[in-house]
Amino acid sequence: MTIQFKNVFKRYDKKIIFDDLSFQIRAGARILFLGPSGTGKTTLFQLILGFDTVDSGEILIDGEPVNPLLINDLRKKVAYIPQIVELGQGIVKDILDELMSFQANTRLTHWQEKLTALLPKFNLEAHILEQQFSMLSGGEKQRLAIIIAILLEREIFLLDEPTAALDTALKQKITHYFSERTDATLLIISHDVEWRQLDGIKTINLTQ
Amino acid sequence: MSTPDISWMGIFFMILLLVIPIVLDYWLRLKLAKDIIISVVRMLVQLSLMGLFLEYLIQWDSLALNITWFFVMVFAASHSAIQRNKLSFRRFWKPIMGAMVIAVAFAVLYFNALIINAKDLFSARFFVVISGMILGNSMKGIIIVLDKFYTNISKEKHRYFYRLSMGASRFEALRPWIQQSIRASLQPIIATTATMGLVSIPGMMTGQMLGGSSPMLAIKYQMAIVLVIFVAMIISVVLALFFSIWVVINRNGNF
Repeated sequence: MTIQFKNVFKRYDKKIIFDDLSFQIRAGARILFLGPSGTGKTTLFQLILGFDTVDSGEILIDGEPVNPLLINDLRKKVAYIPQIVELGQGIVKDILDELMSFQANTRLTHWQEKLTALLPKFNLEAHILEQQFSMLSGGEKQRLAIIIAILLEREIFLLDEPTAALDTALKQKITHYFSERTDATLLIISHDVEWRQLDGIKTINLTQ
Repeated sequence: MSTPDISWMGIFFMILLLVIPIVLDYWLRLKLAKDIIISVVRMLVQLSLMGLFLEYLIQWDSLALNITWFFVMVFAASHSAIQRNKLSFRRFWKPIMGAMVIAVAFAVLYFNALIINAKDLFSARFFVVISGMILGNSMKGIIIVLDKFYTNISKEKHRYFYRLSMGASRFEALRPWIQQSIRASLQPIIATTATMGLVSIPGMMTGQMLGGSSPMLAIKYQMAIVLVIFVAMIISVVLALFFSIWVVINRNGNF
């Protein structure tokens, strides 16, 4: 799946976020978006996911201008980790069960076994599944979101500050995991240097 | 046995009662006197007009007039529900009115046709009076459901977007807020239904008994009306919420 921005212009009230932004992301690419806060990195992901629309210019998916059908299609192909991980109230296991019950995820029949294997990989213990989500620390929530993203078995990862709340050892574990995912397209927003060392990663700087 | 009339003297004594709240207000400096008087005057005027109106409505008993009046009531109730929630009239009037028309018409006709077996389903005495009772409760339910739904989802926008990003359909993504808001809107009526007859004698029953009905007959009517009101309320709450979602939130889940 190719995602292309063509002369995109976007503003909030008087603040211009993107002025004539163009780039193209091919399947399998690894892109790191850089730039200080307020330069529209999160907005960029929101535009890709269809939570927001451009003021002028175009977003093309596989060469076709976005429309509701394409957006629905794209959302079934991406795994998104938001900057703020809010999954609601209740026990982690129940929350996961509910998210995995979406029609788009019913093809994932072995996610429970994979989950059990992934938890220790990111230094989480199995009993986290029995805890209240609201009681988890920022770092635990973030790792849970990463695990969910992996479980979804999607082809594009949209990672918005996925390692901000983690210590160096964990940051390395996670970047190492994604460096081996050569099958996937990676779009990353992060201030962490570990991501810059990924093989074949390109950076797009959103300063100005 | 019929209801004793209230004479002009009786009405004088009725209004004289207001002396008590006014004196208390003055004594405790509650500063409620103005509000009390305004609300009482409004009540008196509105009910007088309604009384006058119903008098003619029942006397003429014209099908077209009864149905027109039904729609006027539904419109007024929808308007009030929209205003109370500070919603956009342009976007919300269709879903709310649509939900109320379907729910209330169903409930009142079911009541008239199957429960009390009225000869004329649309006679003002039953159709207008009963639909008025049902409508007020449906309106309260709709006010709560829309308020909870749209307030909570804006508070939890991150969670909502996350669910959509997973490829959830609009209704899958909205599921937690649909459940929360419907539950919240029905809890009050479920609670009052459970305590009915324990503490107070419901208003309609009181009226019927004053009118000379036997307590058992009044109770049968009361039970029927409670159930009909409850069912109309759940139908209008669910329909108003779903219709509003269809109108307000597009297929990609944005609004």
